[in-house]
Amino acid sequence: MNARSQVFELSVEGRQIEEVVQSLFHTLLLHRTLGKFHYKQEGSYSIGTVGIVDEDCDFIDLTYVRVGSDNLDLAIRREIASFRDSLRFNDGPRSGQISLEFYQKKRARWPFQAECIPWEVWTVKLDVINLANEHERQVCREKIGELLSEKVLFVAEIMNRHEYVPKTPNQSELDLIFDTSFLDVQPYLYRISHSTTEPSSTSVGISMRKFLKDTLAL
Amino acid sequence: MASTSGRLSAQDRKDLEKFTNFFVLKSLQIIVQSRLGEKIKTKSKPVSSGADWFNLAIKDTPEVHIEAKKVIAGQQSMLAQNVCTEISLRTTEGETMVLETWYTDFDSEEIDSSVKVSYGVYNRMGIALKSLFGVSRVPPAYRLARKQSINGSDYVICYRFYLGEPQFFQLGDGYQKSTVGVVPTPVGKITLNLAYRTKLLMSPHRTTRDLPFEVKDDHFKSECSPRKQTEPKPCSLGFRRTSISDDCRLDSQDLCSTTFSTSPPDYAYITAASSYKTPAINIGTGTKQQLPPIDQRPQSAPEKSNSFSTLHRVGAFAQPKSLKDIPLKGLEEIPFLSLLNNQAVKTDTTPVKDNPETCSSSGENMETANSSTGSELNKSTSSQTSAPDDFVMVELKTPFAGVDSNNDLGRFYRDCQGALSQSMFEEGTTLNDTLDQVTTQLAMFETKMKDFDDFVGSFHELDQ
Repeated sequence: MNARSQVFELSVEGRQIEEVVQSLFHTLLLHRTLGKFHYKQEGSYSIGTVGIVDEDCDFIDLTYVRVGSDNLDLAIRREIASFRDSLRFNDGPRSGQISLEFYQKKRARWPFQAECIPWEVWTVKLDVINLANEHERQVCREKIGELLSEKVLFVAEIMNRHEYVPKTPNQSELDLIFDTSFLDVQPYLYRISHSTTEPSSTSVGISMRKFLKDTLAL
Repeated sequence: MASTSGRLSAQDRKDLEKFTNFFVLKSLQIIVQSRLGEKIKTKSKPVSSGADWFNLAIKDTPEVHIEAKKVIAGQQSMLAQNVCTEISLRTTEGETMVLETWYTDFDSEEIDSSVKVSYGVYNRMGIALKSLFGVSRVPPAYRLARKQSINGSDYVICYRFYLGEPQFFQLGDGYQKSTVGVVPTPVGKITLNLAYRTKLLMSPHRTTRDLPFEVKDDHFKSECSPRKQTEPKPCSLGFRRTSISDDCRLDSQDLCSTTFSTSPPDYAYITAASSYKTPAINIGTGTKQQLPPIDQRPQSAPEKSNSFSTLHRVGAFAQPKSLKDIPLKGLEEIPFLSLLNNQAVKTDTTPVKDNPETCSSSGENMETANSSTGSELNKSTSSQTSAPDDFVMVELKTPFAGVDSNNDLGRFYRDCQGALSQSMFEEGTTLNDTLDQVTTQLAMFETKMKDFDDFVGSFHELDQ
């Protein structure tokens, strides 16, 4: 099965990295999180309630809505902070990407581990830019707010196509579909991964060196 | 709908109508609440109370609920007419500008017969409402609504519900349309849309105080005419009179008229056949929630004529406050005013908590805290005579200060007040001397310019 895949590309200031990714991932998770399932007896269950929280951004003109679960928020923030650190505090990379992947597990025979099959992947590619003055920052702040607003509309459009999501499982298979580690809500199984790339400004030098090395190796 | 509804069982049809009804009600709540000017925060509940439709924690605003019910009641059949919400801005001068129109329409041509009413459609409605949550924070009206809560803003955001064709002409040139949520059902497609104004500049020509053209009585078709033009109401009105509880949200008939009345927890269980992963819904196994009689539930205050000017004066979108708090507002700007009050108490040698006036005025925790601090201050060792008249606070024992008032804030303040004048002002220097001094200083800076550059450079290196 091929996973659906969407990519967002943005140029942002270093301090905007976290909020850009948070606003997008939380908007996605809002749609991909259900209330907690409680199985009453074989085959029947009740669903809990999902709370709603408005979050204002500090460095972008944007308010986004997230699921009212502090633990889920914390888990997402932790992953995004690690992405931000790798982008901001290393000398090299000034661009990178972070992905939110929804997957389901398929049990495998012992001793193999369960197979993870992604069904939807959302990727945010970021270029980190430096701005010269406060005026440019203000423009950027508004511009990124507008761009993210468009993305929120786009997410709504995709979510309302009602394409494939894993079927509601029996109790024994609940943790093959959902992340059951949260006490208050139940998102579909997800994982966040990120990578960074070398800055484009030095890529010419690097590729030249590589070219020379390759030539010598011949 | 009539041609296709035959495929559905009577129960499914009934459920679908009920779901649609609540979908519309909840969407209207979400829209109006997003224009309150305040941030929404509701908690997730592992176990639903049974009144949370679509598994979403949406606190209903009673006034909005009543208005929405009135509008929906005007429909002949399920979404026979579009349900529209108009969000407008009204200034203190009474000028009005329509900012956006949200509308729910129904297309009976597009049928999705593969989806089951119970849970399938229900779940899709939940997703559409989540999208509505997200998207409602995006248009320009959201920012305007948030800014109205700042004191001194000269406008208020209003809402109005109506049935029929959305009146786009009120949104000015260049308005934009967007689809927010789509719910395909076995009888047709429900779509939740937004049209919003992009030109927010207010001019006399743009306002919609009066319609821009003469409208005859029979201008609109009778079935799509907003027959009873309702007056837009400030979004915050209901919110400020919050009497929200789970009980007042649902009329008892909402629970009785259908067995699958709310989210699955107690009313409808989803049964999964052991051989098949997709659960089927077993409806009506739950017990009904006992609600208090309607007349015992919290009732909202009777509708008054909503003059914006009166609302505005009490801070239309500010936190609820009693009117008698307002005159104190100016006085609060004097730091530690509450400490001054306690001076009076001290002279009376009456304990603060026994003073009925103090107790009655300290409605909020903060004020209570100040009062109790004040009673401690009565033991302060310093006297009032040593301080200038316009400064009383130094005489009081501040919460974190030492025992000796000469070592604390009082000393600091006195030092500042009676600061020695600088020697350069005492010497009678001429203008020329001063200029010379400045010139030599500038020259010195210029010679040391490299040092400064190096110094700044070192910071830059550290940064990298």
